[in-house]
Amino acid sequence: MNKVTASILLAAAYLAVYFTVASTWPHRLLGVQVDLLPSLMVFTALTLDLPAVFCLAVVGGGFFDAFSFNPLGVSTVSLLVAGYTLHFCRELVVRNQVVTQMICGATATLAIPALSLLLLHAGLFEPARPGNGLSLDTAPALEAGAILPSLAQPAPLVALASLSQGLILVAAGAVLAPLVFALLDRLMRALEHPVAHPSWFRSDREVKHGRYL
Amino acid sequence: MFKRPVYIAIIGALLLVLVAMNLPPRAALRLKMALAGLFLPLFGLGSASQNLGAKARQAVVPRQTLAAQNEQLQQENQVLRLQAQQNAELLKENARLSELLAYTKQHPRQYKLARVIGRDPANWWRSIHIDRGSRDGMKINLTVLTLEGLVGRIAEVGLNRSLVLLVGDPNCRVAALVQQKSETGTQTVDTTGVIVPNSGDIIDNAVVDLTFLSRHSNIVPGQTVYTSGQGGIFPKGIRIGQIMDCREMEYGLYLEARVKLAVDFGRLEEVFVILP
Repeated sequence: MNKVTASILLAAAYLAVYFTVASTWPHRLLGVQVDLLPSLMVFTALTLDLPAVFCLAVVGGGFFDAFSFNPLGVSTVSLLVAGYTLHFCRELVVRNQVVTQMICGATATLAIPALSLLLLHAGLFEPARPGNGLSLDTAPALEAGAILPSLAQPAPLVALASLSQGLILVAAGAVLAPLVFALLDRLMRALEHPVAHPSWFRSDREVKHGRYL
Repeated sequence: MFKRPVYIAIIGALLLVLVAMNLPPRAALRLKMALAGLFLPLFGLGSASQNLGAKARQAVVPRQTLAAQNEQLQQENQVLRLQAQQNAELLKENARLSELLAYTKQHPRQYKLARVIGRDPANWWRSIHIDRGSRDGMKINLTVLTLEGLVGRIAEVGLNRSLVLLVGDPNCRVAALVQQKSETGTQTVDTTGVIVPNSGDIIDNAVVDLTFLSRHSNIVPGQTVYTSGQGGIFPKGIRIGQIMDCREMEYGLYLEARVKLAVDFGRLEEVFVILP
């Protein structure tokens, strides 16, 4: 990963999180917020090296959690796991095929949130946040009344209906991944130095003109 | 296969994750706010382009339409001024009677207008971001509402932005009440309950459940639900929504009603924050 690649990757992660947060129309139309980071991770894992995968996971995950009610680090771990797994199997994946990109994008778009939810349910990340006298954990308990302490468990909103959300995410991931591939491939080709292929010149087979010695 | 930079990347990333997992809550919150602060230029750019678009739209509105709107607004203004005069009289009367009854004096609420700048990117939380932060006097647990009704409460505060948990999020429960006439019809009786996420359809964020209602209460569709003020976070009397239907729970131990929220969260653009 050179400086240009790193810059493109970080800028892409920055813009991906911004568009996910700032665009409210997907939620209005589809009922879900469509995340661009999984598609970006698929591209990175299949195109670039491992440091790039880790870089995207740390930066992209950090940005994502900064705008979410998630504890910091949850998305980083899920992006890391998905990216590392895909990078590990990259030799088995024909990355130039659109169908492959679609399948990988759909799988990652579903797997990354599922992994984050698993981490949240596992309780590895503390959801406690400080407040002014009242912490967020005690606030719902107070609002629910002292008679209902069991209601005060902060838990993500997941039910059977989440499956339909998952299906929409899968479809969105399948559409977005080829687009991300097409866009970033072109961008990287335009901004990076062309690959210098090894020359076929061999000095011992050079035809030398002039008098024979 | 493994080269030196790879090892450095792996160790660095794992260290960062470990640090993030073990950060004290206050430090984690500060780090989150600092990271979100990096997006301020983009949000500023987005807001400026929106304003520019609105101005461009206004510039092409025909003069006749503007004149008609102006006339309508003038009429509305006169009606509102009349109502304000009447309200001022009522306020004076209320103050006088409260003084006679030695009733605790209530201060008028102060509101701060805020613009909605984004949604939570994770689909398992219901929250939005507003463009007001600690610099504008925002604090955790302040109530957020619109003219239609209750929106939620502030959960995280940065320098220039805050995260608002919406009604219906698992972490934003609201003590609510339904006002109804007593059996004799002479008194109003408050039936209290708690607003929780809708257990049936979590995708529809316009509907929530009002649970733990007394089994003796007579809840009917169409009744308005207000905040009860019992939880200590939301002031009393803010409209939440309307009852859609009601059913018995736990073999008739208590009642649970579905409530259609007054505020459409999908179209939120501006909200008010009640200042302390």
